[in-house]
Amino acid sequence: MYVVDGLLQGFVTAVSPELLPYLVVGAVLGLIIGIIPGLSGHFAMAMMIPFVFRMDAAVGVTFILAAHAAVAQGGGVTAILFATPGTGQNAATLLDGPPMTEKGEAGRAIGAAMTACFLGAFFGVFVLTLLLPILRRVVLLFGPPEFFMLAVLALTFIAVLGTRGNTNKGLIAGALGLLFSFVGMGSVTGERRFTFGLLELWDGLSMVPVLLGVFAVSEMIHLWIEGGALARKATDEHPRALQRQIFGGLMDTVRRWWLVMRCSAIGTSMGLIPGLGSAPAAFVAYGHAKQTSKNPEKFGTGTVEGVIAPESANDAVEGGALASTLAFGIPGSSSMAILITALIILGVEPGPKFMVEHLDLVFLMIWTVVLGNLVGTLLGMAVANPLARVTFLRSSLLVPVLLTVILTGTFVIHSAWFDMIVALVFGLLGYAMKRLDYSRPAFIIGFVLGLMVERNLYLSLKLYGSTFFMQPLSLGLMLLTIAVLVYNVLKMVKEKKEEDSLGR
Amino acid sequence: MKELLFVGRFKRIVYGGLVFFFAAGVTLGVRTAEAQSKKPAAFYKGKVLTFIVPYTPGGGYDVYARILAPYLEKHTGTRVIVRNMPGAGGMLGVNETYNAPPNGLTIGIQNCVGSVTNQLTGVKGVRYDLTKFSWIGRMAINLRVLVMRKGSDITSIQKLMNAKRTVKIGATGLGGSTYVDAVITKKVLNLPTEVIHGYDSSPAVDLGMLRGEIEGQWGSYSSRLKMMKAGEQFAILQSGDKGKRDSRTPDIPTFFEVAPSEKGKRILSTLAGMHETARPIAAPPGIPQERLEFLQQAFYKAMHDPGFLEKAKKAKRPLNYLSGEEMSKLVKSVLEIPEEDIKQIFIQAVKGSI
Repeated sequence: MYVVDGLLQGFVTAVSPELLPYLVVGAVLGLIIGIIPGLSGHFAMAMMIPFVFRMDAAVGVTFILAAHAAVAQGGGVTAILFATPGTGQNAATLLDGPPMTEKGEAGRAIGAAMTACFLGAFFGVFVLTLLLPILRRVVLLFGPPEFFMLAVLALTFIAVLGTRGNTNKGLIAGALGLLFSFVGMGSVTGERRFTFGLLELWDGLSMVPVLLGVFAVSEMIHLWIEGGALARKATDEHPRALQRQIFGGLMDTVRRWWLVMRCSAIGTSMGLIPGLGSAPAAFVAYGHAKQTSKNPEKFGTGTVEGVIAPESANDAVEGGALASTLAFGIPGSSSMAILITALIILGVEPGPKFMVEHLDLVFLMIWTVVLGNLVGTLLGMAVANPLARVTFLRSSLLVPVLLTVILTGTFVIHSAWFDMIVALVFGLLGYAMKRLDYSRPAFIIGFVLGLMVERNLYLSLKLYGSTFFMQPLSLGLMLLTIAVLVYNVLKMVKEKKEEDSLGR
Repeated sequence: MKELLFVGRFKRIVYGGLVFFFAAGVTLGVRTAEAQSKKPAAFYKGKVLTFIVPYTPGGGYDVYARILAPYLEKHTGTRVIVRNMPGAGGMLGVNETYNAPPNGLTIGIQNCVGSVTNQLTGVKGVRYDLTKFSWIGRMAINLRVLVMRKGSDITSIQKLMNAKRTVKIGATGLGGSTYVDAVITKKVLNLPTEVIHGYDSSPAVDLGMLRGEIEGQWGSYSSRLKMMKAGEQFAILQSGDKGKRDSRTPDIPTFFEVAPSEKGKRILSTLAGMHETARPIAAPPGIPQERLEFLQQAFYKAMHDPGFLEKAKKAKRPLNYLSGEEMSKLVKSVLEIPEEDIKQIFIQAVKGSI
């Protein structure tokens, strides 16, 4: 019962005149940071730390968390309109967002993405709230064996992500991603792998420059070579038309509520894996949507499901990442680590007793995520209109500006020239993959999950021996993985037979 | 005619160039002379002071730097820009600080435990010499503690030393502090432990301890505090402060107290010395003496500014000020390991071959 009371209390606090302005200002800041390519929620929160010193605990938490919540929306707008992920977590949106813009459906894509973001976040914290009474037990269910199995399950989506009849190319791309993930100092052996004597490579390739390279820089190269504008088919120039489209997109998402739920569930459960972040969840959700779709061949050509799936997953992740933060004061992601730093500064000591001692803050945080996302969603839809006009510019004007913004984005995170070079090199690789039809999402899934698989396999073997997968949850996950693989193989065989019988 | 014109233009370019370089040279000469003659306070006024943090935003070192930055601004008259330059486990930023122009406008915080081990073990890629840095001072030491999980029957270090079973100790990456502490104490104190490394971060080890797959871990006292306060973990051993029990943990024995041999004590005092260097700030070698002194004084004032103290207290960041000169001595003494075999032990610990 305390959950209902707490929720009511939390809501009243969150919308009180003392807090609401901070929530809105935080969300606006988050949205802006999200729109700028390269800058992430992590960055937004770190930059806000100096401002919270004089704040009250509730105010500070609302301010920081609202910013973090709205980042995904900003990133989604950039991804759809400019073929550039505003943040790493929006990279999967690039697969179907920009093709929709090209077809003149930018408004619809944005409407769908923003709604999916909000619903995903809502789903994540809803599950979190339901689990509050047993949250500690749920968090402790997941250890290295379970993380390993989850990561392997996610890896199987590589097979789906290749284009039809091109499974081999998908697998090759996935393997290439795995290979690049192993660059750097191995946490298990301490060996420096593929570093070529470069200090910059010791910590491995950073995710954001690689993502921006493979998806954004390659897109710029493509646009430059092709010429023309980002939006090929001009929509009705009238601003009303775009608004109508946005509303249409909203309805598209609401109608596909079942897909939103499934993708959100993927996001929330992957959020439980410490240090994984949102990008992989978005790709896995995309893979899932493609796999379960009746028209998988439409994915990648601008289908609205391809936008809804990743955008609902990447915001649902926060529910999972918040779980261990709330239950034990143990951060589930780098952003949550910053949130904990902020909480300490605010005079709240997040620890194993956090939920007992600060239950009011827990509910406030839950509402902040929901309301911050709502503000982000509404504002995201509002900025779409003026921003969408830019997409009609011809590429010779747009590409230099966008490329500068993208490369600046890669530079500022670590003030490293090296990251710019990484983005450029991976831009060429991404362009080659695009032209030769090697799946870039498969590459990214391999890239983000490689280390996770290695680390957790090693820990599982060390801790539980060679039968580590015999615990109920990991066994279940393993069976699910096998089921997914068998299903895919059977489907492929069937398709092959059909093609053969058609006389090919 | 055309050729002549060209020659004429060429001459003009050459002369113009000469005049330009001469003028530039004079201005530059005057400016450097002026800069050197200026009192340091006047030199620093309005300048940009770059403050390098070798880790990503939001981490422990970053928070220390960002809390200090406004007070450095106040006491130097500069505009301080915090630059995060992560890479190579923090080594990239240290290299960057060391090789910055020695004009006193670049300083950097560092994880000196890492810097010392890297230099000591001759890791490839080290482009600094700790004995040559212009040390500005130290912000904090690391008080290290070995904690066990709630419910463990290993309630004291004696019980651990006499345990009949293998006790699993969790650690993050190979060669990191949690790992080096665990393997060195295992070797010196003959602990029946198995060090399991490879966890993503020390919070991930905390989760492992809560799940029960890991019984203990080494960590800094401040980071363990919340778990200890909540009763989920308890400390059984500490690295101490200058060889004695730290005032914050008077009931926990230091590892010197249980070391079985003099040799063991010497190994441990090297380890403890590293943790004493902990979180210092340095400028590149060879900056003008008066600017170094100015920065050291400004650092002293900033570290004792009531506003700063309040913020550090709020952020639960312990402070242990040490002057630049003393820091310089401390680093030299830690790097001078008399015995070759002790050095070898540290090299093995970092490489994971103990």
